[in-house]
Amino acid sequence: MNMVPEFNEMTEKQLLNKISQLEEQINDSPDNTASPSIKKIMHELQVHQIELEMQNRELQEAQLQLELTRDEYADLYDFAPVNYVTFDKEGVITNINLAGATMLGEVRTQIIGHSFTRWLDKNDKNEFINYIQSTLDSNLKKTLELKIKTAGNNVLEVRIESVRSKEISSNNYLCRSVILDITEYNQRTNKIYLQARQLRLITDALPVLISYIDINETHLFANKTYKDIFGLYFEDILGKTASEIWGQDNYNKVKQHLATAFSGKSVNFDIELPIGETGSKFFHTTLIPDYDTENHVYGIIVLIGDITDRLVIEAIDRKRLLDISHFSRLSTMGEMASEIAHELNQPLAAISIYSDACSRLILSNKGEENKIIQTLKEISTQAERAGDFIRRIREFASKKEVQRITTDINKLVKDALQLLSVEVRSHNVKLTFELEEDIPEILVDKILIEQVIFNLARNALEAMDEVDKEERFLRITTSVNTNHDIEVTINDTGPGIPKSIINKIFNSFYTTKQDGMGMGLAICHSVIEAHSGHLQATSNKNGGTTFTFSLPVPD
Amino acid sequence: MQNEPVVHIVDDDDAVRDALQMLMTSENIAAKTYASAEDFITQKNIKKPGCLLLDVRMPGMNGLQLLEQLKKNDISLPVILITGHGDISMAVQAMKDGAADFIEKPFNNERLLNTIKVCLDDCINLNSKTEQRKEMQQKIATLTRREREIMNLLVEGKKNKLIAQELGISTRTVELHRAKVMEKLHANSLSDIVRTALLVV
Repeated sequence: MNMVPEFNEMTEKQLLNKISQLEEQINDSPDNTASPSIKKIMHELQVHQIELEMQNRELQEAQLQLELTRDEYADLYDFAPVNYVTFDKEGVITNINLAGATMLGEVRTQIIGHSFTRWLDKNDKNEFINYIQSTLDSNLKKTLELKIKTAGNNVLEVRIESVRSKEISSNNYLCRSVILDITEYNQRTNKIYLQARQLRLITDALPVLISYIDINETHLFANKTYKDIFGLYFEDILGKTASEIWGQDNYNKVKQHLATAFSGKSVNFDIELPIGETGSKFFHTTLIPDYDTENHVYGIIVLIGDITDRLVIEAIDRKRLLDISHFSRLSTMGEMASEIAHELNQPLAAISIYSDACSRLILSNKGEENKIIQTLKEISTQAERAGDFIRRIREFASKKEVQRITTDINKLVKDALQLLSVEVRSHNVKLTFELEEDIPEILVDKILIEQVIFNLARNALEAMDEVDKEERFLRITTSVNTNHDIEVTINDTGPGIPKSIINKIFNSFYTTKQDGMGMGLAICHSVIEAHSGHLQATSNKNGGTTFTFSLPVPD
Repeated sequence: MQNEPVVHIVDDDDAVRDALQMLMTSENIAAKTYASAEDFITQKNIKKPGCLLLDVRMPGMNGLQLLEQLKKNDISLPVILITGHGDISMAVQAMKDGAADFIEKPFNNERLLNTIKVCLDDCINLNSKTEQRKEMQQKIATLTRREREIMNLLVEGKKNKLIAQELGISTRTVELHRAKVMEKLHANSLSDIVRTALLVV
């Protein structure tokens, strides 16, 4: 706009004054005809006045906007859910927002101007001052963890994060800080740490070798037992592969099981491995696949139990059972010497008489050839009978290494009762068998099972001495029970076992016999258990006792 | 022949029974066999003269019970018992119950035949037993008091060890006394001692 230059320098008020001066000049002119130049100036002034008014209005609006923004920031600062504090170089709080004040538990007027050390433990004061100093000396963010004691006497664990910032008015650096309450976080972390430590202690205390290998067969975890058996440190194990730790040979032996586990199936197997310096050991190993969130196998939990000692103990137990049962058989044979002699005397007497009769017939020339030949055959039969009995006795009294062979239970029953045939007669007992034909064969130590049948039957014979001769029946059955196990029952019509002792009869050294050792039934029980079977005694409804034992049929 | 004596053999062992019958046949002695005491006792006409050869140990009714039953039924057949080794007490009981004799298994066939023949002859010569008795009494008279004591205990069926305990002496001493008893009685076995002792009682 084409304007008189000096007007630009005038304020609105000066312009208004100028305008009224000019109006007066125009009105005062006598002919009321002001000069055109004056009118032109007048017009310019009026335009300028309008422009100024517009500018004024803009300025007012801008100021309003500024005030609003300032209030917003103040609000942001004051009501932010974060604790903001400003410290000067002595650690005195120069400003704090509402959240900060709330945390300290006091109103702002009582906080601002006080040193922050007021809320600190005296041991932490120096550290805090040093921290403020180092923050002010650097343009990096600095952090410090402390404990503060609030007005309510609560102790909070806090983390302070600070940067320096220049104060405009004084040109000094201040320390602008955020104080984070990490009490709960610390508690949670602490809990997780304790839990992890407990788990660590437990896994370390377990006698089982535990490790975790990922999909690349790399060790991510190992417990103490695991590292000890290899004689390694944790850092030697973690990150190493299975074959590196186990050795290539051992690894090859379990490779296929690992593959199974990685395919998603748990595996159990027993294996003999030469590990460590003590030579070969036996391990029961379990591999359990671990899945990620998408159900893919991510790794394998490896559990390895050293069962060497257990196997040794089991072997000793087996040996002991064999020794005791053998001893018992021998002592039984001793008790039965008279019966055994009698049983042997029968065929021997027959042989002696037959041969004598033969020679008499021949000498007297009365003997028909046929008759003599027939008698000689009978002699040989009797010799076989005696030999058979001796073989049976010797087998029964023998001590063999454990050997389980497939056996017909019916034959064992017959053999055992054959040994007892004299006793069956002398006790005047009627013996009956109900043996299931086509019974599946079982895998057992023949002599031991025969001994069980023998002991149970012999007990039954002796027990029946107490009842009338006409009432003495021994019934032995074999069958297949509902579990598909072989079941043998030995049923007598004796006086029965009193309820009060029926639970004790399988205990070692428990006996009701005057000269008994209390080993017979205990041995029976141990033998059957060692064959994964079950032996029990039940009282019959009509008196007497039934001993039942079961033995599993091999697959 | 109506009056031919018969030996009745009662034994549950098939082979022994069969062998005994054959032995009798070889000596021209008639024999009948029975598998049990019950089989024998239910016989209506037990042939006389004759004797009974009886096994002590049998299922069902045993030899001693049969002996008792015969006494009850008033059947006075001479009975020879066959006992097992060590069944002395049983033999003693049998002799007391009226058995003519007993023979221990395994036995000497010759002796068995002799015993049987004596029994069968007894039907004719009843006096021989008295003679025997006199002879035995003389032999027993030569025994010392301790020897006699031991003989009596042996006859009761007691074993050396038990006798030693009862008399408070050592087993070895019992054995010595026993040997002396056998020597004085001209006995070859324990059963001989028992037989002698029982004849005299």
